[in-house]
Amino acid sequence: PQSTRHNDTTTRRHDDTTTRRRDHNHTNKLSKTQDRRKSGYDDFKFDKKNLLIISSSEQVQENCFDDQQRQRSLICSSSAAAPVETTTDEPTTKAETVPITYIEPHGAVHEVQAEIGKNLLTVAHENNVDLEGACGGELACSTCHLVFEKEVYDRLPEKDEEEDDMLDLAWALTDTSRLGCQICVTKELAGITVQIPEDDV
Amino acid sequence: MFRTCQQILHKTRTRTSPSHHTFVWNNTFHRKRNISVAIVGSGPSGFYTAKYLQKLAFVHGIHIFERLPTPYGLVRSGVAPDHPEVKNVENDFAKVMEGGENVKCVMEYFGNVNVGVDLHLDELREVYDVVVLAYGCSSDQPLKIKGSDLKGVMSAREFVAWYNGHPDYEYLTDEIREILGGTDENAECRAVLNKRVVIIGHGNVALDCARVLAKGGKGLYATDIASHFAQMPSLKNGLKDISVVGRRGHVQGKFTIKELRELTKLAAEGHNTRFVVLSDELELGLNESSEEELKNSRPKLRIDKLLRTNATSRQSEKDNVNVDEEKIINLRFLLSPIEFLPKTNDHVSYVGSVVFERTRLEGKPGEQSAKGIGSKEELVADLVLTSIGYRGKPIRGLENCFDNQNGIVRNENGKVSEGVYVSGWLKRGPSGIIGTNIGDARETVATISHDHETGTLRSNKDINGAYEHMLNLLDERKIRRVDWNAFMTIDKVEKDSERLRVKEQVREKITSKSDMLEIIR
Repeated sequence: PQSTRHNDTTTRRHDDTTTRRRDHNHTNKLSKTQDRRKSGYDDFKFDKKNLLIISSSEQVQENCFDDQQRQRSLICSSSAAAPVETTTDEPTTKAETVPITYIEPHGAVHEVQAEIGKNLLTVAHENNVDLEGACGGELACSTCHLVFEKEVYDRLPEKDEEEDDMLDLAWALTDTSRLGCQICVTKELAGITVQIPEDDV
Repeated sequence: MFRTCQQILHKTRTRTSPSHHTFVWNNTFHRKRNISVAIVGSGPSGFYTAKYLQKLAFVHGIHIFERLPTPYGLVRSGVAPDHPEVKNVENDFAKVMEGGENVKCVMEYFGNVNVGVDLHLDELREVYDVVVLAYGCSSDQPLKIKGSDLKGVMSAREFVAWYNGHPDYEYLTDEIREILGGTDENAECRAVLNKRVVIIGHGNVALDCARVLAKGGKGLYATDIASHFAQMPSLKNGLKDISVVGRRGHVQGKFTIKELRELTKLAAEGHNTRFVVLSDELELGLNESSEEELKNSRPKLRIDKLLRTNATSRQSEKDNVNVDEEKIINLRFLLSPIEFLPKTNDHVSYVGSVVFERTRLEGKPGEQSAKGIGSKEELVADLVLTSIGYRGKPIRGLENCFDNQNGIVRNENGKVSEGVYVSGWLKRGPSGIIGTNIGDARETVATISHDHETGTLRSNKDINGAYEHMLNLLDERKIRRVDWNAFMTIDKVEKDSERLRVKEQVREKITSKSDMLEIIR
């Protein structure tokens, strides 16, 4: 499953086989201690969903972890707009956008055209807004923290436990704070303003 | 009469009014990109400092020095292997180093160069206008109680560095194998090893150690955990009984809710581990001051709720029939370690148990301390990990500016002395998460910027000259510098599919410095 990313050109290393160029010379130079020994797990099964080794008699368990991953990956695709129909003359499809304003901590104002379906972290990065996103939008930090106006905040889809857990660590947390990577641009968000809080030491 | 721009400027400069002179001088001065910077340390604090320095118009070049061949500090050697998303920040750091079209600042990486050993801090100061110390905390807050020198007692920092493949801790493999009663490499190891671990401390590092030891090699096989952990027979199925113990209550604990919640979900995720919190120990810690601390903190309120939801009574724990092969993580409170006792069998140089004293919290909200009240509890332990804090060390040349009490370099908003600054844990102490270094770095960079504006920053060290000088110096001393391309090669080899245990693995870490240097020869 594809997870939301702050920069669409970054690829997750373990999915990407194209950039991995094998250089056998380098690998051969490693000392004997680095040779892959017999793992000792040979009569065990590998549970790809949960990423762990289980003995052959155990069942592969269905669990919430996989569902969460799927859930996260669906965050924006359900509200993604269908590409606009174009004639054969036009080379690219134009995505629908709505205006959104970001205010940086020291006052710099960015009014951007936010593409519907993208999350607010991706939109910020695509428009050179100074918003950190250390974990790349995977709910492992709180650096894409944004403060919304109350009326807008109340209309946003509810946050789940995971987002709440990460928000606990955010600097300058408010009652109308959300993580940018979890909020998707929809038509309803047209014209809103979001504040990037200052990170006081 | 028509004057040329030159004549006007010349005339301005000869005026005696100092403020006017300064204004003109600074105005043109500020536009020049002429400050050279050396950053010591390539972890989050070093890279965030570089990131914000890059944005300043007057910074010409930044050279990042790193003791190991590989960069990223604790992101590589501290973050738990089952938290790969947290390591995504490395992409941000790589972008800082790689610069790009719009970045006019020159960037260089000097890996495998140990500032303080391979070269003196003063030598850096001679060559660069600005030196920023960002080398973090590489030592431990000691737990000085009787028996702390018994075999089997080590710091969590060392243990974490070991399972994360830090080259300096490879030596622990034999020690740990010995402590756990290492079995023959080829022997089948289906049973959960009946060994007990006591982890002292209430932070996320302690919880990470507990979770990693519970999951074992099987549970972490597809992560980038070092092979010496993943393939150690005695660690295959995890360890049976793990206790995380601290002297204060759950309200004072430094752990965060995400890591606690993870422990409650281990069973559901197939790791056959039960998480135990005793309701009476939660109650014990809820005095008036703790209630006050809770009231003002949303994060702490949520932690309190999570723990209460998952708490069991002491009686039901006693009645609980231990399901075969089930592992347990006990989170204990209000117990202060007073002594390590040796094993009572032949292995008297090995730790056998930890004696704790029950404590009571005393003091005002936010400053409560744990006072022993006499009653003791002894926990059997084959392995003890002390997780009570990291500590910084002064490199040669910094002894006079070092605050030995707090383990940090004395500074004011990040300024240490003329041309020397500090960022990160070395500046504020070992607290916070990766993101905390963002605000910290911004503060240091603001201080540097301010010094530049007020003209107190020297600006006569050219970055290209610095580069040549460094290369010559390192060559003379036969220090093998690892540049960014060389690191990229090491990185590529680690991700080579032929070396991976399973294809889901992100990388198979190279755990020996000499192996790394051999690859890039």
